[in-house]
Amino acid sequence: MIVHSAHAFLGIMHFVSLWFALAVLLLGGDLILVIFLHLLSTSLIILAGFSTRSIFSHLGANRTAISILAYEPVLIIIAVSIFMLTGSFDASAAFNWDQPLLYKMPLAFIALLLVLPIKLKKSPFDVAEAHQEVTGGVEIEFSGIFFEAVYTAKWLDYVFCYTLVFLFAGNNILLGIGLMVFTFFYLNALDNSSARVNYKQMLRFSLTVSFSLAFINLLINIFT
Amino acid sequence: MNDLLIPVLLILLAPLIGGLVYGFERIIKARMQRRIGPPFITTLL
Amino acid sequence: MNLASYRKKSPWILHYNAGGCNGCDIEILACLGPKYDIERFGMINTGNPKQSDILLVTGPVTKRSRERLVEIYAQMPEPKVVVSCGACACTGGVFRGMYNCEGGVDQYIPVDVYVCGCGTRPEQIIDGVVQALGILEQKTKAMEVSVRLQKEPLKEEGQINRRNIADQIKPALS
Repeated sequence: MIVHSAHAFLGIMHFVSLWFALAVLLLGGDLILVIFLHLLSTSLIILAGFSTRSIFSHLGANRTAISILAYEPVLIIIAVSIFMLTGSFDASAAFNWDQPLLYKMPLAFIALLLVLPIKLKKSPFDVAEAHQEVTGGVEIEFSGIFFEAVYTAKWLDYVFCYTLVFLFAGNNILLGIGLMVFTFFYLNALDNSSARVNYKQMLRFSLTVSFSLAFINLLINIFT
Repeated sequence: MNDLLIPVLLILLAPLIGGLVYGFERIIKARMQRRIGPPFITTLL
Repeated sequence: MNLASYRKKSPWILHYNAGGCNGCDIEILACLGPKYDIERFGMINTGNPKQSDILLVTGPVTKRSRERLVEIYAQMPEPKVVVSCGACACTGGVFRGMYNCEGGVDQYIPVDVYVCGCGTRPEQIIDGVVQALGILEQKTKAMEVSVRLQKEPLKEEGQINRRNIADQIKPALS
């Protein structure tokens, strides 16, 4: 059951481009390129949401666009501060850095922790998905094997986000695994213990608290 | 060669790893709510 | 790797209240809670008919809700199983014979499992859903056997297509 062919095609392309972004990140590509490829895949699913006539799909697409506005600037600032520290935008430079980036930029890690629930659609900031409220948002009109592509893209997002967390450990693999486990339990505890905020509160929190934390970290990295 | 092996394996197995992480997360979330949670391996076997 | 054989192991449930008193709905939501955890069978309660396998209906079907009920049933993809929960959904219950409803869900859509009780116990609901899983497996198999003069169903891009079977068997009949 598909709505129309362009809708299903955009869903498949969302999966493919997200996998490509993950491949570029894991092979040590440019961080700015990785962030914009992720933005491309999210904009494909937004286009899929707008291409049907269902109002819930439109609402979910609007909310996904707003959540991009909330997390994208923070990720860009984090990438720029990694550039200031290592002198290169490449992820491989961060993977091969001799000491963990976490010690040099702890505020950026806190900003990333505050932004990850928006990206992974976890509970305080899951306005884009909102289980029984808009029943899945953009993915409401997907069905069958095309929904499988969108659902697998959600799994790929987990690997993407945990790789971003792993980036903060430099070449210290044990610390990286520790950070990933910590982030996993932090996200689940946050998901279980908090209620959903509305999109204005999410945007205000993200653009004031998370963005300014990342920006202060960038200033510290520039001037020290 | 050896440097590329681990990233390429991770990329190829990424949907599988992500699915395992998602299932494990559902179990952890259920245990936090004092439920039993879904079986770990059922969707695979 | 046949994906259809895994369908039984993680059914997604859609819950619709066709004008009941909310007693059965509270019992269905109790199934999701810590005591009767329905997620330990791999089931998820979704709100989306396009992605669900099992439809749980409660309440006598009133005049306002019956069009929505049929529409939701039509939006669910094949194979689908309907479970009617509660005395009202099975027979009409205390509302049978009233001017605004006509005795039960099965007047409008085909029902596979009837779960009795007013309101139904969570154990009974879980039992009914587990029986519905068996019916879902049978329907999954029935989709793959041939229909109408034992013509094999067409497989296009991994999906079963039955649309043009009538055209193809017409020469065989004449």
